[in-house]
Amino acid sequence: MGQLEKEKQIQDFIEREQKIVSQNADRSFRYLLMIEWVFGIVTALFISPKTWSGQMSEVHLHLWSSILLGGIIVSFPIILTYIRPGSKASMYAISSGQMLFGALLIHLMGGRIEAHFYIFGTLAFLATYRRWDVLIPATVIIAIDHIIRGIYWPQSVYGVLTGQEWRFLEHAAWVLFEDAFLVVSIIQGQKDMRRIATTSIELKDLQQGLQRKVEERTSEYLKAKEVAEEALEVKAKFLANMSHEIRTPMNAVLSCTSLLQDNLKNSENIELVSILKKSGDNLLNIIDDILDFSKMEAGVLKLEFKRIDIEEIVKDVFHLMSGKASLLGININYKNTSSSIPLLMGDEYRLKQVLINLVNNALKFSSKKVDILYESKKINGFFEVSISVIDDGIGISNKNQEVLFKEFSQVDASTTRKFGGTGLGLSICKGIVDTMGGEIGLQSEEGKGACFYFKVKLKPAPINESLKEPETSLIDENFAQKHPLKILLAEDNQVNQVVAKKLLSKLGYQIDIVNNGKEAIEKIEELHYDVILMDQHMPEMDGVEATIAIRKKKIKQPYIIAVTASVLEEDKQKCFQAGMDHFIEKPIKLNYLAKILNSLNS
Amino acid sequence: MLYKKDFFIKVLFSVWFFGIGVGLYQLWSYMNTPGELGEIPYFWPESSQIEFQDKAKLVIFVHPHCPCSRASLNELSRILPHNQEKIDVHIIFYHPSKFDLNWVHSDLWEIAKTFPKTTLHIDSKSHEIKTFSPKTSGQVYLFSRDKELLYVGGITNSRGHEGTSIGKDAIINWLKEGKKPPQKSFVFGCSLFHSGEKEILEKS
Repeated sequence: MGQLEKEKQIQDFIEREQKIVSQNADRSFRYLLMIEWVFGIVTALFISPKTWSGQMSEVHLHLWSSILLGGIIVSFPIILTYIRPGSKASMYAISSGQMLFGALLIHLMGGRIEAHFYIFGTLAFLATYRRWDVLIPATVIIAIDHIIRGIYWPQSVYGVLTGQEWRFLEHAAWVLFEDAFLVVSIIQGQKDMRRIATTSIELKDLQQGLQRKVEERTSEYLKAKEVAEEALEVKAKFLANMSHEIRTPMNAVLSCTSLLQDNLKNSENIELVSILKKSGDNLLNIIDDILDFSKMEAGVLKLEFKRIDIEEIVKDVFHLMSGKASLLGININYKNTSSSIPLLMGDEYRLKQVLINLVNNALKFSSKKVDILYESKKINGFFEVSISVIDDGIGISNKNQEVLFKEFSQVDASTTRKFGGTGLGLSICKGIVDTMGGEIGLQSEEGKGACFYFKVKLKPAPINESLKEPETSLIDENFAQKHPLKILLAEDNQVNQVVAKKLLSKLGYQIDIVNNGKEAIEKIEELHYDVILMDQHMPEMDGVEATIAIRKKKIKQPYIIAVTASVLEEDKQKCFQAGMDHFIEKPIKLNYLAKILNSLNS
Repeated sequence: MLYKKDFFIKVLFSVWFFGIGVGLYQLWSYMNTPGELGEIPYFWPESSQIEFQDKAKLVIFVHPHCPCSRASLNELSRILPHNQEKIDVHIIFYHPSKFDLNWVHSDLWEIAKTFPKTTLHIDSKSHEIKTFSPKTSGQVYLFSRDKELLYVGGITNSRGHEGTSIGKDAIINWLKEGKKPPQKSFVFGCSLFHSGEKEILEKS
């Protein structure tokens, strides 16, 4: 801020403050003048209510003066405090009014010396305006009073018939003496006000400077945040695309492998295909781990909360791993060490992922048995679920425990050679459990096995119907006869087209195939289809766009089932919002698809 | 609108200023208008019932309810310390027959009662008033021990106002230094008679 600008602001500040001081002083004097007027009347009533002529009396002129003259004296200043508050006019009027009333009061009180204290008191009160010029009218009026009375009624002032200048000075000297003190005090007050104004303006300037800096920094921060969020979004899209791009051919590989398994008769070929399938499954698991790890790194790992049954999750994992355990000659068990656990809200897929990982590790390192223990505790409306996987393997030293949950780490290179693995599993488990707000850990001693555990806090699920319907297989080559449906597949990938055709032929369906959403629209304009299996990512027109276009057409609407490799809830919602009726994941589970087709007819 | 307001304020100020001027002039005029002295006895009137001993005498006539005479009595109280047995002081209270004695026993009576070595009189039959002929409350007569009138007039400088006055200063100077006072001066107070009452009194 320039010096001129600063000075202007200081002056403005002082003027504003002075205005407030003047208005406050006006208000105070308004009430003081009213009180003084009443006091004057009471004084006249008390001291000189009547004048006498012998036996006759009448109202004393003092009483009339106190009412009428006193009223006139206070009226104009009071009116100005209402119509011109804080102005110089009201200030000067009050100064004059106070002194004139003082002169009247001195008369009413018989000129007693005590009455003269009123003058000194008034001057001191006037100093509350913090302006020295307010004393001028008051001092001038005292001077005029003495001069006029000194000239016309000298005996009333000096007790002698002629006026003498030095007597006037004697009377005026006391007033000027007080004026001098008040002026000094007022000027000091004005200096203080200036100092306050200067400090205030400097502070305001500093504050504005800081405000500007904060705004600049905030703007920079927001820009940086925007850039970071864009980068994150790009990363998330990339990962989503990668997941799709990898899963799609893997889906084809694994599906073809399953189909091959069903059609082979040569036992050697059966064994080869079995190895192929296992390798493919392993590869898919590794790819999933890498993708999950990347999502965690990017902070885009999302959980999906649904109603889950912890006991069912543990049982599912047990059944899934018991085959492998049996091959390794390891005894695997599971046990609930607390009371029955109610249905909770959680991500079943991720919880299974963690537990599978821990059990897999335990099976790798265990010699005889693996125990899965689980329990829950109700704490403040939540359920803390603890699951522990205990093995009797080689155990882990304290030193190695420190690095175990870190990415890419394994206990040592020999472990990698002996047991394989990428070293991502435990870090992914930790990432998942951390995302759930839980805790994962390990208790172990070298040579005494290990206990891997994790704890998560989950809300109880709302009371509803039972979680699962019993699984029954509907796969039957006569299925199509029972449920005659015309089915169209919209899929750009030729391998997936072949796989899907083969799968549906197991149900007895001969399906039509198009390569993208645009061809699907053209096809349904020629023929009616009961069901469309709609892939999502297709060239020219994807599944969502095609569905929106189909739903706008005035035709008998087909049942549209989204087929996608994505497992995210938001992708599902996009499909339903576009108008799709159902959703199935790749690789297509034929029994699940059959259930959907079955439900259409029923 | 602002112009009209300014004009209104100026008019109001003028009226205010004029009103105060007139009011104060009236008040000051009243305050400084002396009362009548009446006939002046240049020697002690022998018909007075107050005994004249071989000492100077100060006599003051007071209307019991005259507010201006409160100042006169207060000034008298400032003269008395200079007395030193040089004068006899008499305060004569006007008492018309219309009122009983309680009417005389006003606050001025109570003030006068406190003065040391001072004689209070209630002029119930107006004998002393007829003898000395004062017309205004607060009128003071100072006679020398030779019964010669030294001073007649008031001892205040205006109605109801205490402070320096010709009469008070003159009396004090005479008491202290023997300086001869001016023979007469102004007196400020209520009239001791209403119109016609003096004539009735003289005839009685």
